[in-house]
Amino acid sequence: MHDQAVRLAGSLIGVEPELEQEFEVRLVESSTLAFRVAFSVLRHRQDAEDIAQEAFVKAYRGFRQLRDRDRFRAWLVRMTWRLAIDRQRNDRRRTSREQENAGPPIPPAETATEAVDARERAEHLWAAIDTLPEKLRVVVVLSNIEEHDIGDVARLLGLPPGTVKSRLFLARQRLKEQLQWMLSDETRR
Amino acid sequence: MDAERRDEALTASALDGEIRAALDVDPSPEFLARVRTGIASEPARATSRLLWKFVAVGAMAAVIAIAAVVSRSNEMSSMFPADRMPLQARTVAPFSQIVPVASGFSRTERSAEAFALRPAAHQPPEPEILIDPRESMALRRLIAGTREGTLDLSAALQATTPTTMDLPPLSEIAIPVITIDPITPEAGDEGARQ
Repeated sequence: MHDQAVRLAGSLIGVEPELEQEFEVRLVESSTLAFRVAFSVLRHRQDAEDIAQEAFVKAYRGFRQLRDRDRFRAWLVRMTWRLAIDRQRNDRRRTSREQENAGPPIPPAETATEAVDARERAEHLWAAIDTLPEKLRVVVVLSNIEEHDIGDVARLLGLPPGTVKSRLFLARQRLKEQLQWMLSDETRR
Repeated sequence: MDAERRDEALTASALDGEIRAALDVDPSPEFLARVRTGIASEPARATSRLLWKFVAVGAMAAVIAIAAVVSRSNEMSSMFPADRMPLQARTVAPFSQIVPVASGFSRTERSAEAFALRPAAHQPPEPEILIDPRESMALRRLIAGTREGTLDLSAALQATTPTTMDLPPLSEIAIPVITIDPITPEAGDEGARQ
C-alpha cells in the first residue's frame, strides 16, 4: 500500500527527463552567478554556498511552473538575493564574526604591504557598499558580476533600463563619496 | 573640462574594478555536487509531502463522516424522545377515530385530512394537552349530536340559573332585648389608691 502510494505520488510530481536536463544546463551556467549574488550580501563563502544551494532547490521545485524559461536567471537572482538578505538579517552576529575572522577576499598582492593595503581597500569598499540602500546595492553588485551591462541588469531585476542607469549612477556617486570620506578619515588619523 | 570628465570616468571605472575584484570569488569545486545532491533528495521529500497530504485529506474525510453520523443520530433521538412516546399513546387517539369538529381545543380544530398530510414524526414538539378520554368523548358526542340535531338542547337553553337562595321573611326574626346592667364598685373608699 505504502509502495503504491509512493509510486503514485512519484509519478504525479516526478520531473520529466527533459526538464531535468534543462535544469542541469541552467544550474551549470548560473551557479557562479547565484553564488556571487549571495556572497555580495553575506561576504562568507560557506554561507553564500548554502544560500545559493537553497535557491537552486527552490528553483528546481518551481521549475516546472516557470512559464518563461528565459527568465530563469532573473528569477534565480532575485530569489538568491532575497534569501541572502533574510539570512543576513537573521544571522547578523555570525556574519560580522566571520567578517572579522576571515575578512573579504583580497585581490592577489605581491608584497605583504600590498596585501594589507588590498585588505583595507576591500574592507572600505564593502563598508561603503553596505551603506547603500538595497535597491542601489543590488544594481551595483549585479552590474559588476559577469560583466553585465545595463540591459542585462534591467532584465535580471525586471526594471526599465533607464531606472537601472539612474540607480547605478546614484550608487556610484554615493560609493565615491563614502570611500573618499573613509580615506580622508584614515589620512587624518 | 574634458580632463575632469576623464578623471571622473576613470574613478568610476576604478571603482567598478575594485567591486569586480571584490566579487571575483568562485564557489568551491564541491558546490555543484552539493546542489545536485540537494536537488536529488528533493523528489523524495516532495513524495513524502504528498503522502502526508493524502493522509491528512483521508483523516479529514473520516472526521467529517463521523461528525455527520453523530449529528444525524442526535437529530433522530431528538425527534423521538423516549419519554414522550407513552404520553402520546395515552393522550392522543388515532386520527382515524377523531371526528373533525369545531372546538375550543387546538387539537380538534384541524380536520383529519390536515393531520394526514403532516406525519406526526415531523411535527415540531409542542406541549400536549391532557384531557380525560371520557370527558373528551362526551364533549365530542355533545357537539356532534348538536350538529346533527339528534340532541334536544332546548331545555338546557331555557333553563335559568338561580341567582340567590330564597330568604325567610324578616318579620319572623326575633331579636331579644339587650339589657345592660350597671357596674357596681367594689368595697372600699371611692377615689382611694389601690
